[in-house]
Amino acid sequence: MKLKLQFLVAGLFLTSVNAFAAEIDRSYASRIIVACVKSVEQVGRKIPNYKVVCQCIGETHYNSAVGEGIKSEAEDHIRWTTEFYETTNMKKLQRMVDRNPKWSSFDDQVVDDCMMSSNQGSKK
Amino acid sequence: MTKRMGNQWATLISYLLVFALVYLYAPVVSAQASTVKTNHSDVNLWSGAGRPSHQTVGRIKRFEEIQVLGTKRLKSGEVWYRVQLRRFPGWRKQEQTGWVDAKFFTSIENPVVDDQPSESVTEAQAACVNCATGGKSTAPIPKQQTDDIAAVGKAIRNKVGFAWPVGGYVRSGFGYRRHPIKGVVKLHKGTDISGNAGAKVKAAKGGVVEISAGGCKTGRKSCNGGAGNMVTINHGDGTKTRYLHMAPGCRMPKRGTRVSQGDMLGCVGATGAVTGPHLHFEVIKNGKWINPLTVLPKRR
Repeated sequence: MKLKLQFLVAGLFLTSVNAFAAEIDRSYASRIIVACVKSVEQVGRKIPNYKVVCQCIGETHYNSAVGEGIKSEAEDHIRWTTEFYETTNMKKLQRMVDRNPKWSSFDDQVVDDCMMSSNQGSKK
Repeated sequence: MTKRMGNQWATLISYLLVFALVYLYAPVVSAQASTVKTNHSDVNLWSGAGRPSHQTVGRIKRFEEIQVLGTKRLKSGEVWYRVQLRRFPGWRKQEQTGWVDAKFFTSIENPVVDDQPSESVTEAQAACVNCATGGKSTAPIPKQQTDDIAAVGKAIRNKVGFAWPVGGYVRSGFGYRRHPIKGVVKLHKGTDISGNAGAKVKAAKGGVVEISAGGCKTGRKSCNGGAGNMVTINHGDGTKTRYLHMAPGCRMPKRGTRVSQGDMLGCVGATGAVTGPHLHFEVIKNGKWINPLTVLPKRR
């Protein structure tokens, strides 16, 4: 009985600290990249190397979510970012930014970093 | 007797099993030694320190955090880190050790003793919006910001009682900005000051600590609502200052403590929703966020 209890505890512990990193769907990164490129092309914004920038934005957000310590927060991050890039309605975008300054601020930094690095060259 | 021995063996095996499971499957962030990351793309991981005599065994991705296991200084003066890389392709845990050139990496946990030397900030740089795109935006900027830009030029020449909280350059200024990709407008409520991870953050002015929120470790972006380790000081004259994203492990004053200008509040870090180590510094006057550069002295 005591042994069964110990195995039960071990099992519960395992499920709570599982390698959730693998569970963040890779397709989120692709969706962000595609939506980012589409946004730039549809509106005609003049962003040098915009495809490289969008690739960087998608990969950075995905890697950052994978590196999060808590699964629910990682999913919240990647889902908010994906929805942000896929949304085209400006009012909805403004609401998203106003209601979630945390991910919006992080995205601003990611975009700034990606744009600066793409302008300086992709490899140093 | 035999039955008791059997139970003891079973207990020992179960504890070993739990230990093995934790070791194999615990997330990377649960055990951090010295951690570094790079904002360069695809930095090579080498089989030994120093490039010419060794081969590449992998690549480190941009912003990927890796653990430093050791440091080696070569005769040429170059510093190399021995690092461990952990990735999780599918359900497998993939570990790799190798060497990387330290010059491409920024430590996000190890304290640094000295501040960065200060650099002068011109009025144009201080007032720049969307600096990454050359500061050009065709969209109209809200009036508050255009008035503010004029105020910066006047106030920046006069000392009005505030001091810079940390050395380093302004990497992102205060003000409304339009998202370069999506076009949505948002107010950046403070000034981001770039600094070495671990550099001391000092009180810009004397006052009482109103909020002191710590307990954040690097990597958890939602900690304290994205602000990371933070301190708010009430200066008693209608102004407050806020210091965000400070490093874990650095001593922070408790709520209610009276601090003087220049007192240490923490260290530059990368806690909360940030991509790299910097200090996010805010000034609030009578309940409204104002441009910190209107109260900070001109840097020499």
